[in-house]
Amino acid sequence: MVVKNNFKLIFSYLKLNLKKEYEYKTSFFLKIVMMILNNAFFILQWIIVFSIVDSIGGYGFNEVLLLWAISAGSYGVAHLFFNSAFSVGELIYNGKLDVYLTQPKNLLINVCCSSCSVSAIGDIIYAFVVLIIINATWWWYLAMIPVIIIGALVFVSIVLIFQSICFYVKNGSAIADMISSAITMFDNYPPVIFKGFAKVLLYTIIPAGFMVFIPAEAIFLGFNPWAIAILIAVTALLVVLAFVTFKLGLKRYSSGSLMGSRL
Amino acid sequence: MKAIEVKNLTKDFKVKKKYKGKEKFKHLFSKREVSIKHAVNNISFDVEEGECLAFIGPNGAGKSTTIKMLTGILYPTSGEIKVLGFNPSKQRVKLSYQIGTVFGQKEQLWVHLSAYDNFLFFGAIYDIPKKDLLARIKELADVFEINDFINQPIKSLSLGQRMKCEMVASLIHNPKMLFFDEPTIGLDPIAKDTLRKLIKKINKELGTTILFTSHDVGDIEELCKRVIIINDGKIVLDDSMKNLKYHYMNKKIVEANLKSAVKLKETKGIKILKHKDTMYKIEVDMNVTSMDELMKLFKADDLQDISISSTPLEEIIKNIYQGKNE
Repeated sequence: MVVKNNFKLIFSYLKLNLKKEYEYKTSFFLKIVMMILNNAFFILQWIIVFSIVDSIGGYGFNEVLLLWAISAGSYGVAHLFFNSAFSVGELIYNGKLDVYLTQPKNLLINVCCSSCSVSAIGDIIYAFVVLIIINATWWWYLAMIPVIIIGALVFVSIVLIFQSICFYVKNGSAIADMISSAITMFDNYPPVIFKGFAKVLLYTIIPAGFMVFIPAEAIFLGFNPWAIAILIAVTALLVVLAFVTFKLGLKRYSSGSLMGSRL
Repeated sequence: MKAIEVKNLTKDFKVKKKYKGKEKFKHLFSKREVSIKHAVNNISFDVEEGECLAFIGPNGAGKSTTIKMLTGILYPTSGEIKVLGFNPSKQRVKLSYQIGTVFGQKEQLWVHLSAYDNFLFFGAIYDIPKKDLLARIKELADVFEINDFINQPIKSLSLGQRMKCEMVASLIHNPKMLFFDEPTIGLDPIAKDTLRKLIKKINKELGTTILFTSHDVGDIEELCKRVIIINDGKIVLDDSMKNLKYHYMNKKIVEANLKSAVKLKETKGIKILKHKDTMYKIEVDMNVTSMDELMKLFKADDLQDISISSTPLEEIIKNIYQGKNE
């Protein structure tokens, strides 16, 4: 019942947010198209790279684009459904959680879903356009759906864990912002180029490995049930950690008296 | 039955010391001194079911902090709170099904969407079945007379219309208790009057318990039978409106215009507040003296015009805020 109610809440927010954005139709579609184009420019970058080298550690053009598809799709789902997760620190700092705290819903879900980024739809579309470009088999399209949902959960959870620092350090969202940027910066390069400490980082505080590399290698490019099991366990752990750190920090929430409205 | 029970409630905030000039550089890398600010300092009070209570105080007195603890927004540092039988910090979700809030300075409606869409969303937040929700929106829209603009985006509405919609949103789940934090702020006198009538209606007809904060004495005078005044985190007065007026409105203001200027002498209980030519503004403390004593100071023939009024409630409350409540 609780799960059903939370899903209902997530989709109610999505419906409302999209309705709000659709008030300005031209801008709505422009944002989506521009995001697809923006992502597409990076295809050019890889065309140039692979015109010089045949492969990077076994990763060819199609494999790198697969990483791109998982990365963009996960980023898209995260920002479409949980966009406010990326500004939770700011909400804490400015004491703007009050409205959510007076509502009978799970606070973290209520806050994270309260806004959406329309351009994220462009990211999700791009993920599937890439599958068309690399001539993917039919089941890749189906597998892409749970993969980008898991990727989004990993992405949002790690960002939230660091956003909760704002309960303890005023205006402390810089680390969360850095983690978010680092994930999107590294997750579309072939994983073999990362060695030693860099690799450790990508499977810990910058979990691009769980968001993109493991799904790519254990589901699409090969099949490794153990890796899939670890991926699911790590995702669940990160989600639980995000809820726990937020709940612990909430006791230190100091509200605020700034005037404001919901846009 | 008690709607609210508060015992020894305290909320402390840590305030870091700010250094100036050279001191700032000295403490650049060292830990700043921290002092404790008692935003709410050991207060206790009860509110009966169906009461409309004014919870007032100057800016920074601790009233919003108290409301935030009562609604589960803030955790108290110490003390006990029971709102409708729930502990707000431990049973926030259960409590929020039973309470409604309107923060005059923080809108909860989505400004780009219509009021109707907002109400549908709030219905979903409170898990109200669609059929019941539509009936409830219709009922509230009729009571609050918002049918003319219910489909307009919130951003295009006047402040008064917006505040009506905020109230409808806060009532959508039929709460047993309402917290209104300065709901009439910035409204013109007509909109204020309309809103006051509606609040009165909610309290009387639906029996909803209301805790109300406002800086507008008119709101308090018209709506509330009991008033709690909080200052510097402490309750400085908890009394009925009737008693407040009876005990504190004992000073009369006499404005007299005489035919010719005379030299009036202040006596015990009679204080000349203003004097210009033949115009006098005099304060008479009815606990100490009487109007008769004042009249003895004038010659009846000299009096051209006279008006007697009570000290405005606003003045009384201001004096209580400033600790001059004698």
